[in-house]
Amino acid sequence: MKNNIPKGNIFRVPEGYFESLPDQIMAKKLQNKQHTTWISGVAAAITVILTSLLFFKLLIEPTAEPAPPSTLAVDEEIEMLIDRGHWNAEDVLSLSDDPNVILDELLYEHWRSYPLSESELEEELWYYY
Amino acid sequence: MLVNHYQKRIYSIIRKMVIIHEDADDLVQNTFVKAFKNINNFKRDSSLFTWLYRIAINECLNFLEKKKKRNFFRLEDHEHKMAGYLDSTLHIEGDEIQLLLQKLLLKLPKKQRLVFNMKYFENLSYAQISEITKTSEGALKASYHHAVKKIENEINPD
Repeated sequence: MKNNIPKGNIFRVPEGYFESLPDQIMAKKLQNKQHTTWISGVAAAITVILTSLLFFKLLIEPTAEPAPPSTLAVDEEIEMLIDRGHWNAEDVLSLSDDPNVILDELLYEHWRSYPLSESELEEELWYYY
Repeated sequence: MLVNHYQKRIYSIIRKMVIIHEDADDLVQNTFVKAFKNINNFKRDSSLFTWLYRIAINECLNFLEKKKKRNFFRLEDHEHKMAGYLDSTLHIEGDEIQLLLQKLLLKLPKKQRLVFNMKYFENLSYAQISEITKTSEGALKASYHHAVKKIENEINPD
């Protein structure tokens, strides 16, 4: 840079500024520390209050009635009884409100794994009979 | 004590960046408070002064960035406010050309202005500035020379 611009410091400070600055910094440091402690205390208090409320809520609330057995649980029980030989297929059909629905479902399940066309189906039936 | 030993140098670089004494005062205090808070994180891979300087610079740059964002919707931007302060306060004492230099510096991007201040006014070496700013010496030299050219063209347009 050309030397026609003096490098002198144009920035002035108030009288006694640097004498008092260390004390101001220490005071600010202490204030920040107290502020952090206060916030931590408030956070801890809120946590304790919320935990207590939750605890009392669980203590006071009556236990819920047992939920009705799901359809899935009933199906599993039926399967178990069939597997163990206590029930056979006729027993299950006789207990059902509409046995035809069960039979249709069984047929659908069986034929779904055999994706045959109409002509292929006729051919297969021809070979069977 | 840390503050007594470094306060004037830290104040000097901060004041040159933010111009206004009250802002510089806040940032100097924040710098030392952060330094005390994080003294255990000082890894001694640089000098204590370099570490402090780095904190001070980050405080300045963050402050100026916040002022820039906050003033987006206002008529007067912070750069204009700093330029106005140079003309109207007792805390500034310089001749016409020195004031002109400061106003021209305000037009530079803040990082370029920082490099200029550290090199021209604070007399730091490129190696020292590189350590403080974590920027290569080559980039710093380019930035400084570019800033000098811009200012010289404004001061001496012939």
